[in-house]
Amino acid sequence: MVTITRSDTRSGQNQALKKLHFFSAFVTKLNGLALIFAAVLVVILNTVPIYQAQNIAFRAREKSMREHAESIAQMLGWLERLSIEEMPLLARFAPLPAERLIVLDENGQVIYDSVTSDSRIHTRMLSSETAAAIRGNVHFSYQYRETDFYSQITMPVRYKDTITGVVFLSYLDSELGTQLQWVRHTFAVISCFVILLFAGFTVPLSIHFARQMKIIRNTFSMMAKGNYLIRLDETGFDEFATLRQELNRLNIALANTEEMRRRFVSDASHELKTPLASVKLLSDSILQTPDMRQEDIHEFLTDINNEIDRLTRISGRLLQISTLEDKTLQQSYRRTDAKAVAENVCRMLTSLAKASQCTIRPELAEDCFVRASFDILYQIFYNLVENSIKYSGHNKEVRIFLYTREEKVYFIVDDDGEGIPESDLERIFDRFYRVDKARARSTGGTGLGLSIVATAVQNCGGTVKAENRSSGGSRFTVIFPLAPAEEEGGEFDGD
Amino acid sequence: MAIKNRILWLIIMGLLAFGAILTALLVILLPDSENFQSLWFVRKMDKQSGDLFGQEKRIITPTPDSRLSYLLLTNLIAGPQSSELVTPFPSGTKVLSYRQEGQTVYIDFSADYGKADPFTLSLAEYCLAATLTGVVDEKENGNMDKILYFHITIGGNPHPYYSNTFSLSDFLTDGFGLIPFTRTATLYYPHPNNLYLVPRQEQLMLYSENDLLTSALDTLLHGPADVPSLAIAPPDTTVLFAGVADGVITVNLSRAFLDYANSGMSQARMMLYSIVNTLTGLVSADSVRFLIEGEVISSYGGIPLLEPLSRDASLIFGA
Repeated sequence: MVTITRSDTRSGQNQALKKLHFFSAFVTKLNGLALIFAAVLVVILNTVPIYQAQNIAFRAREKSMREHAESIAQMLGWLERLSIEEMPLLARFAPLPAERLIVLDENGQVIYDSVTSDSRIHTRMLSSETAAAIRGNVHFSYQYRETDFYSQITMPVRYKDTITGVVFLSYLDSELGTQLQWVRHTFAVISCFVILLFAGFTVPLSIHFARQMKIIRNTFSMMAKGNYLIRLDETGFDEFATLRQELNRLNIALANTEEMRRRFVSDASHELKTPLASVKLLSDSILQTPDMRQEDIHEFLTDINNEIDRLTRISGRLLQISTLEDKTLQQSYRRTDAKAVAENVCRMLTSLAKASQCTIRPELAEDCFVRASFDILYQIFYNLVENSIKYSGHNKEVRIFLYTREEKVYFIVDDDGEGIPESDLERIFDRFYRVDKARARSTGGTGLGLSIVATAVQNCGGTVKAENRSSGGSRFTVIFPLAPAEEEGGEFDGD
Repeated sequence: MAIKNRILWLIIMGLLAFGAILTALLVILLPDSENFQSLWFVRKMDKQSGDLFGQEKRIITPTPDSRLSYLLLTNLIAGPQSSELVTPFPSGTKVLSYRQEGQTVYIDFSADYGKADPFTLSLAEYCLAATLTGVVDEKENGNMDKILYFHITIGGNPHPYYSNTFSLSDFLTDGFGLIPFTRTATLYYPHPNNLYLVPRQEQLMLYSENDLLTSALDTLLHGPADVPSLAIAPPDTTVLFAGVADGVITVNLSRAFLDYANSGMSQARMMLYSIVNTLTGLVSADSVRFLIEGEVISSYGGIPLLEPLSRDASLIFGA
């Protein structure tokens, strides 16, 4: 996991983008891979089939030449000693025009040569092939030169158990050589086609990849500089289209977060500045009025004290929100009995309700377990009930419902107050948002209570909504996922 | 990355410098290559292909008592130093006498030499010829003739297989030394209407450049392998000679060629000019002299042949 600290981020914004290294670039690797693949394919295409074709041709040629040489060797095998005088016998074995028949005696000396124009009579043929034949081995060999396929065989001539000479037979097959060359040329053409096909496929693909990578890279670069207004084209069905879509969503989310951050800073500054201004004004009044009466001084100091209390509440609640936004809190959550928490809250707010001449009527069902901590659940319930008590008015009733339905836990707070204006319903959970600012201040509200509730509920995986009841008053509904029964040993079970 | 490249560069430069120093040392320290003599032996045959013979370089310096060629011969009989080579000379072989007359060396081996099988003797004689051919011995008042020929006797008796002298050219040691080659040539065949000649490209198989005329003529007379019906002469006709001298090609054919002489003047004309135009197109010659078994004939089918026939390009179709 990579952790980026604030200082890293700050330095990252100023740092220039790394220059792409040619050999490390993805496109280079893709093209390189395609090139290697094409090269291997071309090598295979130009070797294996041609080798196989040659092999088949050579085997066929070897078989026919072996048979021919054997028949000659068998006929010469009737002679006890091979000599030039006996060679007219070979007239019946007149070789083909492309064939050459040579007979060697036991010394390796040529005693018959079918080619008169290049006759080697009396020459001693001392090659490894003739040496092998003299030792009793048959040796077939071949050479392929341009369009000529040349093959030769050496075979011993045996009289009883004695080797009396060697039959040498060679054959030049230009037609077969031409055919093999045609095969070679055909595969060469196919290879060229394959290379062109690869190039035609990989080059546009790599250009497309490079272009898309550049767009995404540039977008990230702009985002790193704080520009979240870039919107990429989302058309297409490939991975890059998905990536562009995700980038757009990320940009929107980051822009929203940035906007929220700005608004929060602005609101927080405003909320903190107002009590500070009051404190400044009151303290200045005391300091600049030397003859101020003791009662007035006391009254001013009481106001200053109240403003300081309010500042303390605001800062405390901001700290709470900050804590609740920490997702790692969820790791400490246990299966918690919501009924026990709600009973606790009702008990704690009874005195406030009495002071407000208000009645709390709880209807709490059993087995309402939520995956959360006691404190966070308490925070949610307390804020909602306290809010309803404050805004319901005298001689009114605050009804609290807790029950489970379809694997969900419902916590509902109804009051008989004036309700919430429809235009404020959407923003009621925003930080520092108050429906009635004057009244909120008089009741000691900070405008952060419902924001804390929303953040805490979200942290617990739940949802919260506010609505006006048709019969009057408002309703706050919190829905949690029901914690499964196997998660026993919760943090708080009411005992 | 830069450090790695620098290290690689240094390694390459170091290897190059090492190679240069090693080469210089070898050039300085090795003795003069002129003192090396090549001795040819037979390779140990562990496979049926590859070179049958191998040479071994040795420094052999002649002495006042022993000539270089004689020392080479005795070293050859003694055998190679390399374990990959063997001597073909039978064990116990001794040189009973050694003398040189002109370019021929006369060697009389002991009787042990004759105990080897015929093929082994041939191997030994090739090694002898390959080692000694070209050697020039020194004598008191100058150099002796270059050694080119050899004559061998065994215990004073003639060689059982080769009573004549032999030379290095009497041996063929290349396993693929007899590979022919093909040459594309334009041959002119008579059209069936005997009015003009039709050119046709043929692949002629040759063993040497001297075969070109013979091979082309033979193909014309008997027809190409794929279309034998194009033969212009009787089947028994053979080419006895075909050669060029002083711009005139001489063709000597067997008497069977005359069998078609009475088949009409136009056919005879096409037959003869088929040969003339074909052969004059292959070598730098303008005319062809026809002989039948070495004799000049007065005419063939009414065409006079006392003088050579000159090329007639007007007979070629499309010319």
